Amino acid sequence: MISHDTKLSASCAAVGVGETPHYRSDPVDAAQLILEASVAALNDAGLSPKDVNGILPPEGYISSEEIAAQLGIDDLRYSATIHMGGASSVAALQSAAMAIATGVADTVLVAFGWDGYTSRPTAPQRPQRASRLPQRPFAELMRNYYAPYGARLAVQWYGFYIQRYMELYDVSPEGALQVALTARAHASLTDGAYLKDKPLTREQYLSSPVIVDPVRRYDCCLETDCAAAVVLTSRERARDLHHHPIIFLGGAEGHPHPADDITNRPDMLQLGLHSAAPRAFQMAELQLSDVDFLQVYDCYSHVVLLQLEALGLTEAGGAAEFVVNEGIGLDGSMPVNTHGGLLSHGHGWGMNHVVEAVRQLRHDRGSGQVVGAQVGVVTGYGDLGDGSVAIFGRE
Amino acid sequence: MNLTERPVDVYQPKSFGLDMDFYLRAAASGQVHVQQCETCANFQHPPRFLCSACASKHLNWQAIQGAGTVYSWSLSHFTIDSAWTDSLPYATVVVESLEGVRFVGTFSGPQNDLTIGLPVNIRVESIGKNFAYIWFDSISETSKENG
Ligand SMILES: [Zn+2]
Repeated sequence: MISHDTKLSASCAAVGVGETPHYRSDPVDAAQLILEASVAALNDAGLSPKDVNGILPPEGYISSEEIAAQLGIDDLRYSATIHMGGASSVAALQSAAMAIATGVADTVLVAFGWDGYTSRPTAPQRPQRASRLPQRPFAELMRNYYAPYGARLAVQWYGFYIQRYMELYDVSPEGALQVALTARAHASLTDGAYLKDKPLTREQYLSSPVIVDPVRRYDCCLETDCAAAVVLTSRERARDLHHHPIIFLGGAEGHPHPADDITNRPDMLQLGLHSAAPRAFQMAELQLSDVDFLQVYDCYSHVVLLQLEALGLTEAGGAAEFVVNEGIGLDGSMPVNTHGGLLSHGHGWGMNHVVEAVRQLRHDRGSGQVVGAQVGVVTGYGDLGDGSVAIFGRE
Repeated sequence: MNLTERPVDVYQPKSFGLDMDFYLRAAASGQVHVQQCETCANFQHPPRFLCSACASKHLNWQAIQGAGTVYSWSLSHFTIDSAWTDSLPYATVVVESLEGVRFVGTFSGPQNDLTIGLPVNIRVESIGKNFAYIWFDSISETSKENG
């Protein structure tokens, strides 16, 4: 084991979280939502913007310099932007921890958000900020080799490996169904969940249209305008703040190879998380059996199944059976997405999963609480299968 | 369902650099060409500046043999690409060629025949000088047609 892994583990703590509501109505400016979530996270921590000297913003929607300018952060020492799509938010936690552990920065703001509804693929085109950078690392390859054949949406690209996964392992469709229904049940226990008051039945799920085989409408994440943020600081400083510190125990990012093309990977079913998860657990010196809940990036139900396997919960192809037999609800053997996830809480780039993990570990989740939770895991997933993971525990 | 003709106004990327070379060669020759490394003989697609196996910059274009097997596919019942609306549901197919590189294209046979490992021929339909559309034809269908 590399010795500096140990130093990164437990070097910092999440001390403040904040999020905006999820909107699907009037057009919004994502930058404004990101700033609102940032202020909420700082207030939750009891810190002032002047305490922040590191910022990790999302790709494309606002720069760290603009966040600093708007919040009045006058001594920005560390800024970086992670280009891993939906895996960026959780990967940014590793980067924040590195900055704090090495003393490059002592308090870091990780803020994510977007106009997922306002600029959804089926929405009318709208004027964009000049500073907006929507391109992803794989954009050139996608337009040259996938788009001519009618594959322009994430669900169509991921369909390549979901289809292969379902066929190779003869995966039961009950797995994805349970992921979707459980997410909705958890949303009903969560203030701020976009679909809190919209129960989902088995019959509604099964009668919802197939978007890309075998992904049904209710297997697809929501498109919402929203933002969420977390403030991290050194473990020492965290002890002086008013919330129970939630310690960063381990984190990692992983990139499948080649990351910019799904189709030419030696094994299309090897995601970034397959390489990231073991490194994060090694850093934390923990095993999955020590973990009380998982917040898994759920752009599509089937991608949750793949990630449960990448985390080591089951052998390859076994996740559907686990979900059905062992359960991923609050009373199941491994609660998953206890806020409702991207499927039913809203699409906060997975930063809403981080916020939920912190609240669970603070024991602040009311009827949605995983009783006695001590350790929780959050995953990120994005672009064409990039993965990230963070492990948090109570001080 | 099967799709024997592509949508008329299918998206044609305005490629540049190596991607443009890929399409110019395929359109002109009627055959898919991929990069092969002079140093280690590795085949690769999409084209890159360096060999992904040994980082050599000495890469040559080679015509592929033109056959392969289905690796996976994505069957869309929904699209945001208006060119494809009338073709729903349609399959976007990934085929591994005999050279071990994989391409995205359209399968001309019945969608229900799609299965991992299905042998296919890889065919090019040239669309003007700058673009070539990749088709996968079922080998059993071809042999039936040929008597
Ligand atoms: Zn080589």
